[in-house]
Formats: sequence, C-alpha cells, structure tokens
Amino acid sequence: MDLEKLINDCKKNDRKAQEQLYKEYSSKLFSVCLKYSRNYTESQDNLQEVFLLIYKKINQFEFKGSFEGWLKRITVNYVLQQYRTETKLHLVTEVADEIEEVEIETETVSLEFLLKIIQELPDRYRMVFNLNVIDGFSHQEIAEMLDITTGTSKSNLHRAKAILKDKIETNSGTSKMPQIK
Amino acid sequence: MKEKINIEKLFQDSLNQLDVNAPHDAWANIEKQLDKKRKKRILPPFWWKVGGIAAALIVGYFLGKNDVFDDNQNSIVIENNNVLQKNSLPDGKENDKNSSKINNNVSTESENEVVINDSKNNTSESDKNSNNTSNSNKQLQNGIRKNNSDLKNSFSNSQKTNSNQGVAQNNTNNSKVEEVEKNNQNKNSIYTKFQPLEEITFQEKNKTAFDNTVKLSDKLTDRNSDNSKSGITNNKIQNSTINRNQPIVAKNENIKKLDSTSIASVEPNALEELLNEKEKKSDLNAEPKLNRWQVSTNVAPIYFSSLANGSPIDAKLESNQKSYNTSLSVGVGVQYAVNKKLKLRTGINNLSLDYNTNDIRFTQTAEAKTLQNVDANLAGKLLEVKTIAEIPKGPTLVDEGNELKVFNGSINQKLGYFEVPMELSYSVLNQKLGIEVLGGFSTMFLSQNEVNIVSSGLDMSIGEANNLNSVHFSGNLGLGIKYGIWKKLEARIEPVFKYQFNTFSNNDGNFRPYVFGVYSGFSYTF
Repeated sequence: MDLEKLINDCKKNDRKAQEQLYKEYSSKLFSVCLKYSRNYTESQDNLQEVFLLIYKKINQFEFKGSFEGWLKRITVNYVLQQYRTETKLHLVTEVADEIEEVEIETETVSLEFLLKIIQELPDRYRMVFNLNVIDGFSHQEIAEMLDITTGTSKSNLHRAKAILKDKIETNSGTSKMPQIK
Repeated sequence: MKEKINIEKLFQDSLNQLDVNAPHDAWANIEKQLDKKRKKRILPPFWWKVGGIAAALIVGYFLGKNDVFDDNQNSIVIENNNVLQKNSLPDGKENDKNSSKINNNVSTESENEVVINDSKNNTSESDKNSNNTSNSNKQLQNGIRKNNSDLKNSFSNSQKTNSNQGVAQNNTNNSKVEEVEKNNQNKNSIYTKFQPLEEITFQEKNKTAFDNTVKLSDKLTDRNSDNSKSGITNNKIQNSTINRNQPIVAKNENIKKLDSTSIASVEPNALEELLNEKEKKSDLNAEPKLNRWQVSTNVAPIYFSSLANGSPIDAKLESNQKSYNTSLSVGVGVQYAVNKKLKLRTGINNLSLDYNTNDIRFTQTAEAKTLQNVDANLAGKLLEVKTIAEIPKGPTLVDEGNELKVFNGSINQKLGYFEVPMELSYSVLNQKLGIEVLGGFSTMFLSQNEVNIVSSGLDMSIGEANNLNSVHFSGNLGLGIKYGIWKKLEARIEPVFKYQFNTFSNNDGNFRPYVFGVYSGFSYTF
C-alpha cells in the first residue's frame, strides 16, 4: 500500500490501515523500545502504548520529513517519559571520558547480552547511553530532553559506560553468555 | 582471544540496526484498546452540545495560552522532520529493488529466544552484469552477532544452489579468501531477530548439510577497505562467527515483501544520507522545550519617599521636614513564560511603609483641634498638634490662662499593603547570567493604617488617616538580574521603582509617594 494512502487511511481511523501500519513498523519500534526499556515485558507494554499514541497523533503528521523518523521520535519520547525521574539537585563535576575501550573475548559477547546489560542499567543511565551512543544525540540535546544539565548527562554516560564495561569484562571469558528471556 | 574494542563502537555496531519482531499478541491488545476508545466516544447528543459550549468558553478564556491545554502526552515532541538514528532506513518502496533478497532464519538452542541472523547479499543494479553470482548467506552465530551492513562480500555460485545450507567460516580457511573486489558490490547485512519459542525451527539435518558446504562457502572473498565503520570489528565478528559451527536454517517461505529487515537492507543512498544529516542538523537547531512556570520568593529593602514635600496628614505640615524609614517587603511570586523572551509574572507581597513628619510640637488639651486628615482616637482627640512655626519656643503654652505643657516630637504614619504585582519581563540576556527589563503595575490593598505621635519616650497612636484609598495602584519599572545556580534554580536581584497612583482619596497635600525596592530571591522552574 502506498505510504501516503496508508497514513491518510490511518488518519480516518481505518482499522485495516492501522493494522498495516503496525505490521510495517512494529519491529522497528519494538527494537527502539527494547533498547530504551528495562526489559522485554516493559518493551511490549511501551510498544502498545506507543502505537495507541501514534494513532492518536497521526493527524499531526503533515508529510514533512521521514515518517519513520517521526514514529521513532514519538517512541523515544514516550519511553523517556515513562522513565523520567525527578531531577535531584546535586553538584555535578565534569567527568573525563576515560572509559573508551573494553577488553573482551570477542567470541563470547552476544547481542542479547549487550542488550540485556543495557536494559539492566538504571533508567537515567540507560536513557543517556542510548540517546548519546546509539542514537547520536548531543549532551545538550539530551539535557533538554531529560530536563537535566549537560554535566549530569555527561556524568550519567560515564557511569553507564563504567557499568557496561565492568559487566562485559566480568562476563567475558565465561563459556556461555546469558541469553535474554 | 581477548581484544580491546571501543565500547561505544561495540554497542553502536551491535544495536544500531537492531530489528526485532514485535510480540504476536501486541496487535490484539492494541486493537482492544482502540475498540474501547471507540465505545467511549459514543455520547448522547446532549453532551455534545454541553461539551461544545464548555469548550468554547474555555477556548475563549485561554485564548493565546495554548499550553494550558497541554497534558502529559502533549509534552511529547512530535516533529515531522526528525530522524532518530544515524543510520536511517529508506522507505519500503525501495525494497522492491532488492531482487535477490532472501531472508533466512537461523535457530539456536536458546530456550526462550531464537536468534536469527539474516544475511542478505543484495546485488545492485550495476553489478548484475559483472557479478551474476549474488547469493544469500546465512550464518548462525552464538558469539558476537554483528551488523555487517557495510561489509561487502561475494560468494561462490555454489551457495546459490544451497541457500538452505549453512555456511561457516574458519580462521584456518582465511587463506582461501579470494580478493575479487571488482566484481563485488554486494552488501552483506546481518540482522538479528528475536522470535518466540514457537517459531523456532531447528533443523538438525542442516548440520550435515553444513558440513558438506563448508568447503564451498569458505570463498568469502572481498572485504571492502572502505568500510571504515566496521573495520577491524567486523573482522573480529567474522572470526567469532567462524568458530561457531552451527547450522543455518533457511526459511525462504518467511519472506515478506514488506519485512522490516528488507527495508533495512536497502543500500544507503548518498543523497538520502545528506538529507538525513540535514534533518539531524535541523533537529539540533530545534527550539528546546520551554519550561513555562516558575515560582519565586523575594525579600526586599524598601526605600520610601515622595517626589514632592507635601503632607497627606494636614496641610499645615506640608513644609515640615519628612524622614522616610527603610522597611521590608516579603512575598512570593509566580511567573509564566509566554515565550522565550517574554514572561508574565504576578504574586503577592507584604509591604510596610512608614515615615515621620518632624518638627512638630504638641500639647494635651480637652479642646484640641485634631489633624485635618486623621480620624483621631480617644488619645488623639486630646492632643493638639502644631508646627514649630506655630509654637516657636518654650516648654509651656498658655491657653486662656491655663499653662499647657508642650512637647517636641514627630508624627509617624504607618502604611501597610498587600501588593499584587502584574508585570511583564523581557529578557535582554538569557544565559546563565540573565538580564531582564521589568514593567507593569501593582494593585495595593491597604492592610495597615496608623498615625502615631512620637516624642522622647512616647510612641502613641492618635488615630488613622481618613484619606487613604483601600485599593490603589502603582506603576512599576525595573531591571532584573538573574543567575542560574542549577538548571531549575536561579538567584535574582531586581531593583524596581514603583510610583504610587491614587494612594489618597482626597486631599493628598501634594504628597507624591513612591517606593524603590531591591528585590532579591530565588526562583524555581517547573
């Protein structure tokens, strides 16, 4: 189905079009949810809510720019809102970004494991890590999105990397890496 | 083998194009929710009318304050031009170009999840003539599963006929790799998928098939040096892949025209990448979310004075010297940002003012003539106040043969107000250090009205002024300087001049009061 027609039909609340839209984009958006959520179950819940939100907001899409980008933006923003915590006032010191490399047994690090340890990160760390490292947002942008300072963003990223590095190195060398359940 | 890998690159390469099938029951749940919403929308016509009227009233009231209607969901920024990932994927339309796309599902022994690596060798149009041997390749990987989207490989013809057979690569076989760059423009993308247990298809027989095809498949040839993104990492991935002699299961029947993996496999278009970059830049320039509400506390020393040397108490005191006392104003405020530059603010302050009219002399007499604009109390009715000019000297005054004792002193008038300012502030500088110009008016509600007579050892109320308005206004003009301590907390100092209008209902005695306050405090932004 032509994408423009599909979107227009969705705007008219056409159920078949909505289902088609789901079929076409659910895997991409689910992947985003998996990266930003705490676990598989929450990713599933978030995906459902995201699609309801998309159907609600689709009238706002005016065919300017990438539709897929728009969908992903909604998804990320929705998940960020779910895990956004109250800002705690604390002094933030600039952190030297020294955690650059990790020594691993290349054969033993699976994608499932990488995804799992990301999901296990504290919410804020996970958000900042995903936004910065995976999706390429700057600390300034992240600060605006999460309502934190750029210093906090940098600090969170540093700590996230430290945790990830530790987990990778701890598990590296074991014969079998944990699988996602 | 242990190797050092950049941690960011490790995650980027692995997760950037993660593509996982959504759970099967998710759509059913979404559909249920959609049905619920539809049912809820059925409202009796009466409610439509009432709702319409209410909406019209609300819209009329809040016209121009659109953000009042923002709920949580509205705070989600929806922008048409945003592209989330660096590696944005082209539209599904382009999938049709992938004439040689084959999706292969590979099962593992994982209990709950199946890891599926789909390797696709998509032959571009230009390569079809030179390279007729484009193939699809599947590799089961228990080790690192990498997205080799940039890795360009070509495979031997034999694989084409053995698409259901596994392909493994062994380090020891690297010597067999042939460099055939000229013919190879194929892009080999490996995507990882998770599928529910019920979809696992583990075909044991492929193990045998795999063994038979190892030799054929080792003709992994080209490794394009342009693929700087994958670079060494991809090499490592392959090595790790090679060591896993796992079966590969083909599921050609699972191919869907609009499968998301096929969308992901389209060769990136240079122009599109430029467009994406541009979109990303426009994202960076996008307006940050404006935090509209701010609350603040303030305390200010208030310098009270008059532009003219009149007296609102009595005309005869007009030329007497006045001394104005510094008092204190405390209050709280709330601020609404109309836009980034303009803010509307209000609040409530408690303001006390007082001043002395000096050089008076007073005496106690039963037939005292009270001050012109003072409603005298019992004590005040027994006091006659005169200026020094009227009673130039002497401790006593003879009145009809009676000798009256005369005291030197002053009249102290105290005024207290609850001030409700309504001001606009305009940001001249809006950085960590900000400068604003303030302007507006205040509504002053009279809360204290006292006239006292003060002499050595005496401070006695003689009544209250009868010419004070219970509500009056002031025109405010000032400068605000703020400093951001944290993102949401800022310290402010605001010198503000407030000229008082219609303080007195009548007979103000040419008294033109104004206050100058240096307000300081903290603001917290929501």
